Amino acid sequence: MENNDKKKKKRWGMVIDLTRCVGCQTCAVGCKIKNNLADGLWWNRVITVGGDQIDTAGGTYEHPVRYSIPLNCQNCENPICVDVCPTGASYQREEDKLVLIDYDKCIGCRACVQACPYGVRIANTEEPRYEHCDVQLGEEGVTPRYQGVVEKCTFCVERIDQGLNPFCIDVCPERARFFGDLNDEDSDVSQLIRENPVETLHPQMGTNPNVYFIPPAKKKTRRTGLDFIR
Amino acid sequence: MSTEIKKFSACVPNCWMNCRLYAHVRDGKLVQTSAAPFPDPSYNRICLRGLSHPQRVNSKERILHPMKRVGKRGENKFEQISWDEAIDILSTNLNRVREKYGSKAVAFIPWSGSYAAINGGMPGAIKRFANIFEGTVVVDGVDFGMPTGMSQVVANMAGGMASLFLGPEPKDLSYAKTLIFWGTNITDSQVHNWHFVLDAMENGAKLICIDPRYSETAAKSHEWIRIRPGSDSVLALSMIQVIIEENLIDSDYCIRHTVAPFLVRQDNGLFLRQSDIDGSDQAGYVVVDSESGEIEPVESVARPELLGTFDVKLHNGNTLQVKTALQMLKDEADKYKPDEAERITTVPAEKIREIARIYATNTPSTIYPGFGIDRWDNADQVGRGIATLGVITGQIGKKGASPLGTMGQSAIQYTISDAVMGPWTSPSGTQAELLNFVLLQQAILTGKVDMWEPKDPGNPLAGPTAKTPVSKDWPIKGLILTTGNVVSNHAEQKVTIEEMFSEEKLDFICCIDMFMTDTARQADLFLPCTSWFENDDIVGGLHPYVMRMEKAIEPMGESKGDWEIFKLLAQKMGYGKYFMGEAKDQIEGILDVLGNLFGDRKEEILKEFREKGIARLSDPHSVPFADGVFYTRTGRAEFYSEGVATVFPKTMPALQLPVNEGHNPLPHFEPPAEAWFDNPLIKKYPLALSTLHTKWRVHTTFYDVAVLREIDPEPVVYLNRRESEKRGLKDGDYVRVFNDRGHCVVRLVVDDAINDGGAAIPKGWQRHQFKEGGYQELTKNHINTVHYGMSFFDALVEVEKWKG
Amino acid sequence: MWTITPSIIENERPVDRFALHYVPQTHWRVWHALWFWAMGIGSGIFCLRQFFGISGSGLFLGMNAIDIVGLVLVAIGGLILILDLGKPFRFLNSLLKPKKAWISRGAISDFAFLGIGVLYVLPGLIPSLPWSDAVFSQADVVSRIFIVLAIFFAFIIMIYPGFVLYYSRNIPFWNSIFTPILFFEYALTSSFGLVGWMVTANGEALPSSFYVVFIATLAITLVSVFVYLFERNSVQNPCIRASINYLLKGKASGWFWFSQIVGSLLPIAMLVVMLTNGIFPASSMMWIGVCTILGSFSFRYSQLLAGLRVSPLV
Ligand SMILES: Nc1nc2c(c(=O)[nH]1)N[C@H]1C(S)=C(S)[C@@H](COP(=O)(O)OP(=O)(O)OC[C@H]3O[C@@H](n4cnc5c(=O)[nH]c(N)nc54)[C@H](O)[C@@H]3O)O[C@H]1N2
Ligand SMILES: Nc1nc2c(c(=O)[nH]1)N[C@H]1C(S)=C(S)[C@@H](COP(=O)(O)OP(=O)(O)OC[C@H]3O[C@@H](n4cnc5c(=O)[nH]c(N)nc54)[C@H](O)[C@@H]3O)O[C@H]1N2
Ligand code: SF4
Ligand code: SF4
Ligand code: SF4
Ligand code: SF4
Ligand code: SF4
Ligand SMILES: [Mo]
Repeated sequence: MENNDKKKKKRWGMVIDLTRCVGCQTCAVGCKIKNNLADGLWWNRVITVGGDQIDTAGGTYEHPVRYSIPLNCQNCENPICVDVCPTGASYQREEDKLVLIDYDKCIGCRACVQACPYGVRIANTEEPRYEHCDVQLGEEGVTPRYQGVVEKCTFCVERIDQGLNPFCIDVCPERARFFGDLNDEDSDVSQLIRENPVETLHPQMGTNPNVYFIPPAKKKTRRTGLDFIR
Repeated sequence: MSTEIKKFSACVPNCWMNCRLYAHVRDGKLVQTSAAPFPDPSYNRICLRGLSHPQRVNSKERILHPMKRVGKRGENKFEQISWDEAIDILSTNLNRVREKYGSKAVAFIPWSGSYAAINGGMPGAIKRFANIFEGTVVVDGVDFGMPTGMSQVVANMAGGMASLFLGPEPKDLSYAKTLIFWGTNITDSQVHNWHFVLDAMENGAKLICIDPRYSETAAKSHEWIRIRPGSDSVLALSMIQVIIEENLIDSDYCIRHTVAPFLVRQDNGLFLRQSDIDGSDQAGYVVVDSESGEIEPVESVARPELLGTFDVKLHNGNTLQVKTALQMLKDEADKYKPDEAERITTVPAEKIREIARIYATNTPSTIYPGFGIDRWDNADQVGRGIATLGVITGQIGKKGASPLGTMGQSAIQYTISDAVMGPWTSPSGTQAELLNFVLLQQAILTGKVDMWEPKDPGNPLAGPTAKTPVSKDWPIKGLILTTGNVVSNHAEQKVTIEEMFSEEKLDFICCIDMFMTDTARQADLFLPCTSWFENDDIVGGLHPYVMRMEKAIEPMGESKGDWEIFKLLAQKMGYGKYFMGEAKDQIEGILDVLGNLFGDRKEEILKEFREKGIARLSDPHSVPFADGVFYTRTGRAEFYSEGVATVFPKTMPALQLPVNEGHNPLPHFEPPAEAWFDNPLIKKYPLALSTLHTKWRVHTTFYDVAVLREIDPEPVVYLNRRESEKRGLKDGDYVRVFNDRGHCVVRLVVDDAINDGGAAIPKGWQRHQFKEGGYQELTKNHINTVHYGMSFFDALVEVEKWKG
Repeated sequence: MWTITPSIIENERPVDRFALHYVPQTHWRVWHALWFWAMGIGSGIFCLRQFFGISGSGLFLGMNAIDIVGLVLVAIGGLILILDLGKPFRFLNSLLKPKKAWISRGAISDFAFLGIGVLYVLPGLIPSLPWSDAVFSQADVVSRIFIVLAIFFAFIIMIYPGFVLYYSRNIPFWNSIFTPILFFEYALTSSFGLVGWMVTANGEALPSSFYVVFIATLAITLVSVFVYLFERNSVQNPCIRASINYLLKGKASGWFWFSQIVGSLLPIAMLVVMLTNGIFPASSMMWIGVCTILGSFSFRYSQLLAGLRVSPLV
């Protein structure tokens, strides 16, 4: 039932707590299977900040550094990917400004891939390959993958429209990922953002991402154990 | 319209997490997995591997038909056959070997590949069949070193998980104020326990990680102690030294719950007893009263001396020197004062003092012991040291305080116990013999094994018949392998393949698996088993819950669950009456016995299980050792014991090697068998190799899942920058890792997380995934006659550029 | 919060996307360089013919050869663009968002230019049409409207790929106002080269103002390139630094230095010599044409190659 007063539009956002994240890649693999992404394609990657390779340390021998940062679409307030899209295939949904792609409109020009400062858009240049098995995997209601268009994390639109969390939120073993309405002051994400020294990626680009990160070892408050699954 | 159905299942490899999962099924196919709820949502869990099941189960690599070897053994040439023919071959071979060498010559080898009670390997249909057949079941051998040492201190049970099962449940981590991760990388290997750690941390706990390598766990901890591999018992002793020296022990706890005040006779190492003093038949322990200075029975003294050397008059008039047990410990620990320990461990003396103080004072404190310290010949000594730290500071038996890890309160300790599964695994009343994994190589190669022989099988405390293990005939001629990948996971792979699994040594080998693993490739007969989603079963996790596994999809291809396979074999061999019904029909019987262990709570537990498919077994409010009573001879924590607990199958308590025969019961230090800086071999092979448990696989399970291999495409070795440059190697080079036992060729990853003098290879790859060889060729099957654990990390290697 | 400087890797495996690296972008490579180039010249020569009132470049089916070559090059460029789309048959969708997207603006301009251009040249083929294909100064009103519109769209065609690159925020090396400027300049240099070549090959002479402006354009372009690099370098961004290195010393350097030396310096030198001597031999003009045309391609290609993707963090 719709509320009678003019409710604020929702603004979906994530907070990812790098103090908690251990780079286990569960959210990345979960996203990949759930969306039935083709071989070689990832909408969500957990990137090692450290050495040159995944899971290696940078810094020095005496003082090594290493942490991880999960990276999916930042669902920007000011999505440059949408601006550059010549077809309107990339768009911000009316009701909540969610950045989505209409795969039936996209011409595969890749302008958006080059525009997104976070490198989270993926051009499905080849016919999607699934060499390991013949079965169509993934969650019900997920759009099929096809060749020639650009894809990205959808914030699990079909799940959030059912009132569920995005899949990557629900699978995180460390409960490091939080999701909710940034326009709702009481949501977990809003509270976390208020209570912690959060940062966004490439703020100078003016994209206004809706994914916030609590930098490693900077967590100030206790907030944990969101044990959502149904 | 939705055509999808969701079934409750569980993920049951040996990763220690045992997640409850939903299996999402469309058109009879497993299309997705997701986390299914636990009654206590803090246990809700799934991981990247658990999410990859749809690819593993539907994999094109999966073998779906029985196969018979056609080429030479190990050539990997197979031909599809029918189940009839397969069972025929198997029964013929079993009969043949039994006739020729006796039934014991057939070794049934389940390992750790599935925790499911009926189709899995612990205990599983294979044990039921083996008991009926009266063959040999191969057991133990991994994860035995460090726990055996701990067992001696807190509970005289032999090895393995025994002492760990006496720790608290995982959630208890969140109550600790100090947490020491000792040789474990739980952010990879027990990923679901980390959020409890984070909870503790957000409440102000201090995290300390002891690891030669800057692991993810180290990166997340406040303090990282880079230690020389294999030297952990020195660190433990040095911390003990600091704690005693600075009087940070919990004296009350020591007096009441440990052997600290007991007097140790310097002539034979036994505890001084009342009878020694007065010639009576009173075997009670005595202590020195600190007020009167008199020797009195322990029960009657409130303030006994904890430290000191005393001369006592014995009833026969002789004077004898005694020391308190704590003094014995102190004397041993004094050999490793922080400055000396720094020389051996490379940990700065001040750091040692600092963490000792934090551990003893910033309480409650927990030590989370891991298996990086277990895979060493001297692992038992580390175990003793860590347990000792816990008991002398009183950091045990309280919320948030335990040195024993987090497997306590787990459901699996019931679902693998003889008390619950005994009746089910031996329906005929007969028993198979148990052979330790470490001795399997000896048995196959020589037909004999060197084993301790208890003097009195009914009383293991009486010790063994001889000062050394005695040689026993134990020919092994046929193998049935399930739920494990022996060729891949057993040390010394070249010997395994070229000698143990040779046609001269073994008459036949049958492997039951889903994939053509290293082991399956050596088999004469391959039987395709189902995945965990294709059977009904139950499983107890390494968490407090027993879970139902619902059959979500039909067995794929011609594959069958282990229950069905052994049932076919049993029918063929005339044991059909012991294998009646389906796997599903076994559950109620098992539950009934299980329930009996819980007295009043039985009905409640069973009701919950029947309704929800999941039930908590252990009492959430109980804390192990809360009463301060330990399962030892003295009922106290025995950092000094009259016997050294060793591993001998099925003895309860553990078989004890008497101190008066020269076995050292104290935590002490002996150098590792191979990987040690003053071993001359280090000139030739300067690097100590760890074969890590990685998030990409569970051992070898998941070794070829596409989604995981995209992020971890090939075997690699990690070396730090200095060691790489020394050898003229660059990141991305293919390198040969080798020693006298064998070699492998892998891609080099330069990583400054690795210590100087160290190298690491994440484990679980199959031989065909290497350019050449395999990492398991490099390890050694050290036989340690106390803990009988495989010392995988106690191995030296060298790395050079591959000229291939 | 980030403390590392990623290294550059060439061939990215899927696993490499799980660590921080600078990787040369792979989406727009030689085909894109070709369409930028073809469209730049195509639209450029159309404009030059009008500005210098050139009519002596020969005819093709009665139509002015420069215009025809121009239209054909723009059409070829458009075709490459379409074929390089993931979904070529949906190319009409690309016209939908001129308000914001430069690709839409460009695509509309392409079609408009082609349409208007064809109308403009058609009287050469069909003389009965009620307008002329004369140059602006001699044209009638209708043709003049055509010419003005065509030049307007040609201008957009020359600069819009520059704006597409400019807004490719994943590649900060391109994110400079000099990118569209250089697109314009290189369209002109190669157009001067081609026009000079075509006209002299046809035995006709060009006004000396043509040569002066040609030299000036080349010189300004040469300077702009280095101002561009200087400007980029002044943004303290390690990814841009890495790009510049890659352009000057790395895998893109061959193309880059070719474009500067052969594409700009050499023609300037030759033109200066010819201008002082006052003779413009057709063979030299051919070489200058070839050099500037190749130079304009290779600069664009080098700029694309040196487009290192910014890491998500630094
Ligand atoms: N994903 C996954 N999880 C697993 C498993 C798996 O295969 N995959 N296996 C499960 C099983 S059966 C086991 S036994 C556990 C094992 O899990 P862990 O106990 O975590 O064992 P490892 O990963 O082998 O080693 C842990 C750490 O010990 C360090 N180490 C090596 N040598 C030494 C040393 O001499 N001293 C110290 N202090 N540290 C040292 C290594 O650098 C490494 O970081 O994991 C379980 N969990
Ligand atoms: N170098 C080195 N070697 C090691 C270690 C190390 O640290 N370094 N660690 C050791 C340790 S701690 C352990 S616990 C061992 C573990 O060694 P293993 O117990 O051999 O473990 P896995 O490799 O997981 O093998 C499990 C196999 O069982 C199969 N399987 C799964 N479910 C079923 C089923 O229902 N039925 C049947 N028939 N098969 C099934 C899987 O497909 C897989 O092939 O490895 C040891 N090996
Ligand atoms: S699942 Fe959670 S802990 Fe694991 S990588 Fe993703 S955010 Fe980090
Ligand atoms: S992260 Fe990239 S793809 Fe996502 S909205 Fe922002 S600019 Fe667009
Ligand atoms: S690739 Fe598709 S979504 Fe991206 S800009 Fe082009 S048309 Fe839009
Ligand atoms: S929100 Fe959904 S689509 Fe986006 S990363 Fe998470 S799981 Fe993938
Ligand atoms: S592999 Fe282990 S941690 Fe992962 S889902 Fe399975 S049981 Fe859970
Ligand atoms: Mo293990």
